Amino acid sequence: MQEKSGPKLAFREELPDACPPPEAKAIALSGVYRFLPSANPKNEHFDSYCLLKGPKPPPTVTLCQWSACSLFVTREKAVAKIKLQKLRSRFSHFAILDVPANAGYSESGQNGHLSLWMLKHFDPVTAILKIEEIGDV
Amino acid sequence: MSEKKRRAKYVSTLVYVDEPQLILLESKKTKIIAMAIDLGGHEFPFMAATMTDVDWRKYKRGSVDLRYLFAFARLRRLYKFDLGELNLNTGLLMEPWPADLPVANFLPDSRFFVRDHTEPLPIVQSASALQHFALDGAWGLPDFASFYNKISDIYAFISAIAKFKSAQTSYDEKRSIISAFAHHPFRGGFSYVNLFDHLERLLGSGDSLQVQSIRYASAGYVNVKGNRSVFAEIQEFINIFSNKNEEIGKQYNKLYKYLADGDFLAQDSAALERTSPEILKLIRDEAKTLAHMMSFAEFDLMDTFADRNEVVLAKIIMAFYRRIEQSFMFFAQGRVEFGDLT
Repeated sequence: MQEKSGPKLAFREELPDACPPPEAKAIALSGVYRFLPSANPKNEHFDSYCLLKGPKPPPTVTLCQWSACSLFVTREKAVAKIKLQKLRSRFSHFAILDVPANAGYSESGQNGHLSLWMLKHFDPVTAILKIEEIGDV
Repeated sequence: MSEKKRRAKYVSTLVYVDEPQLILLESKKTKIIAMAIDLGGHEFPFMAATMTDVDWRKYKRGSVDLRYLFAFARLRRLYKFDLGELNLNTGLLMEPWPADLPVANFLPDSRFFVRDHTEPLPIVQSASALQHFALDGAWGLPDFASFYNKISDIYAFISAIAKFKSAQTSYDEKRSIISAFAHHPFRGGFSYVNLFDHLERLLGSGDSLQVQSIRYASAGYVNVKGNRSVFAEIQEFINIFSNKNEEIGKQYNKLYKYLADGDFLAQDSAALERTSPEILKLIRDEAKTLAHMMSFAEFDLMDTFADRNEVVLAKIIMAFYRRIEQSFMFFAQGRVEFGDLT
């Protein structure tokens, strides 16, 4: 496992101090799910909202959380969320990918949700195993 | 439709996927559920619906889905707001949902339940309350003790789960609660009384049920002091039994028979080792059905407490069932009625 601190670790995005949090681990994630807006995955589909919308999150969200990429451990856990209006209107597909242990740091939340802080060298698009249409849920 | 702007304060996030997707707000004592929506002209637009306490409890128990809260719930009022305008101290101002914006375009799909949240539910420390039970008919002292003990057990069971889920509960306390659930039901010479006694001890005097006053006569009463939301849950469980006691009883008997046939009732751990995975799956499925029929929403948590042991899981659910059923019989016999909760 890599040390989070130290000058050598370059993350994909600029992160605030003490981010990733201490609970985040550099572990391999096998077959995890990411929402996509189309069947053609692009690198930016894995950007955090910090990168996409700017470094001012809603007041309920920390800048560290805002700088993470959300993933789900199973299709079942991911597909349930697509019933929410904003997600349903924006996403049509899943990317299923393997994230190696040296790709970044992840923190397990409740109910199959993962926050991932990727390292700069990791290319999530090349880590995609499969694209699936979400379809009717 | 609502007409005035309304101030609300943020309580907690319930679903987070790259950004908050579902949050809980509060306006005075009214709970408000709010879901992120795709709507131009806002930074973080949300649709919000006020909820009655009853509907919020139903949602927390998994008895209704999210769409129900936005589309069908009684007395709901709809609003919209921008989460970017939230001040954590003063809250935010919600605007009435615009009449020219079709609600149907923004509703969540059906079958999104509390189990689909990515974040834990907030544990609201509700103020202590006094539950009045009106007693009637002939009561012997053993009857009274039996009724009080059953209510006290149910109270301890529900409170222990709430305590486990509370962010204020320490890691060690949580471990103790898991241990109480996991170890008693499968221990040799087990008495279920041990589990409930253990839970009551873990709660401590501050969180346990306390008798405030009794009038031991016919007609009489007993007033007990405790947590308002736990009392409300007990009443809901009793109400569910009053509607489908026989149906739930049949399911209990079915599960009991599986355990009896497998020699599991005598806590024979060797029996588990010689049991096929198919039978264990059957026990799990039947226990889940029983929990569902009772509207007991914490089946998955019990499964975790039981360390995925099907027999321990089934025994926990069955022990809880028996306390409710035995309490319910006092109500069914006309000897007890729920009085005021003040």
